[in-house]
Amino acid sequence: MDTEKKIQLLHEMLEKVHVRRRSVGGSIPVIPAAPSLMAEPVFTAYPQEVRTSIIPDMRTVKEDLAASGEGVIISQEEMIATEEDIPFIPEEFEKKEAAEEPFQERQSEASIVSMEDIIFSDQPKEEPEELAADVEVGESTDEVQIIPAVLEIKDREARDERPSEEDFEFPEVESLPPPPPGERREYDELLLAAQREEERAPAAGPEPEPEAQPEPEPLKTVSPGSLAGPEADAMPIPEGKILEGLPPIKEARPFSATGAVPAKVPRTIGGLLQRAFSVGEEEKK
Amino acid sequence: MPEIKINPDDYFTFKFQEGKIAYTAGEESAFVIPAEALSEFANLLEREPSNVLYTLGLCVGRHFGRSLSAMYGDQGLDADASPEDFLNNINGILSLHGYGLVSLETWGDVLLFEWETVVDDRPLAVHFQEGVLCGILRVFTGRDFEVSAMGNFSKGPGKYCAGNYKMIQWVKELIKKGVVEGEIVSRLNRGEHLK
Repeated sequence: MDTEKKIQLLHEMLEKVHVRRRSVGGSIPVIPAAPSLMAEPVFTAYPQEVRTSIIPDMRTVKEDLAASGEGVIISQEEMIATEEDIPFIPEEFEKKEAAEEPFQERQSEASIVSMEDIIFSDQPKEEPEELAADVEVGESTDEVQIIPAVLEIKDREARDERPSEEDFEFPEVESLPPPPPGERREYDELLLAAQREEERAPAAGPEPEPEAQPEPEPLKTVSPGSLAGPEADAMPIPEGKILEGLPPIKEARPFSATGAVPAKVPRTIGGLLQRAFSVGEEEKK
Repeated sequence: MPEIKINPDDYFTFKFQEGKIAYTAGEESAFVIPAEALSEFANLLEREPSNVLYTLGLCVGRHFGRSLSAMYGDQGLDADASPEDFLNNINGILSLHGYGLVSLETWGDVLLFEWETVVDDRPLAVHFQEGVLCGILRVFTGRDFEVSAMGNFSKGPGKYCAGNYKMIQWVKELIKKGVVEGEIVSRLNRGEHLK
């Protein structure tokens, strides 16, 4: 309701409302502060946590990890965390996954590019600013964006260009000029870790017999660093990020990811007050 | 739009020969405390002024609660009125006394009332409003509701959390420690106050 309407209602109310002066007769006009200004419903039901919208993503992560036989346990705090608090996913894990997965299975996701095939560019890039580095892939003009913990590769499949073997013929690392000393140190370390990873990886061979495949390990509590070998094991594990078990689904429930109020919210004042009087008790049961 | 049951015509009877105001419904006496006077009152108190103001508000709130409860046939928690309807009527009563308007927010299971301060720049007056809300809810529901302001705001709208005694004591402790409103509400919904 706009202000003009409110003023109009106020005037109407002024004409109608009188408080009776019963003892001496007559009446005194008074301005009621309320009814004319109360026309707008003042009740608001807030969807509690817009931040919970990351829950489906986290579940997807969990399912992916479960399917691969490895699990990262996510606390409820992380589930309702702000975007900045999204748990760290080590790049070694991403890389290992890429190395182990057959190429055919990854066609729909991205082309595989080894860290060794990446040439770092010293030319500063104007945008986007948050990118940690800009790199070039071999002879191609495709750009690869590296952000902390995540290696994103533009997908040739998105342009219906089926990658050929030529796409993976990259210049030798030795032929490239080394990065200036003291710079790109973290990427040097990444390259070293990738080389070690490759050395440890078994040589590609025929598919093993089905019975020779080990049973997938059950979902377990692991640290982010333990997925990538002894070097990564030395990585500090952020405190409070690992719990002993997955939280029950209902703990992540309060509101849907779309922000809609769940159907169980009472729509009567009696129901709302009853629920407010026993906050948390239902959850504890 | 919900029906407003407040009829300001008959709410007060001004007895000029006696110099008194009476609630027409129950012949109970009433007086309106000017906001300025309440402000001075808060300044003069030295010992636990918050308790005095809270108690004063509680008495006022109980009276409001009786009026409100009568509108819904004393059904208490069985009242099937919509929150909008309830708020319109509670606001009618508050407005007749010049106490402003409240709105209601649900944060998960937690219920918060938003209410402007009746006296600006006097944080202690917030305790008066805590008492008023508490009195209203206790009489209306028949439960031992407690209310805590979600901070020491002194101007503009502030939020008040309503719940049981244990919950509100826990909330007050967190507020003293400087925990922000959103975190308190999230932790309440997880039942941390029950541990």
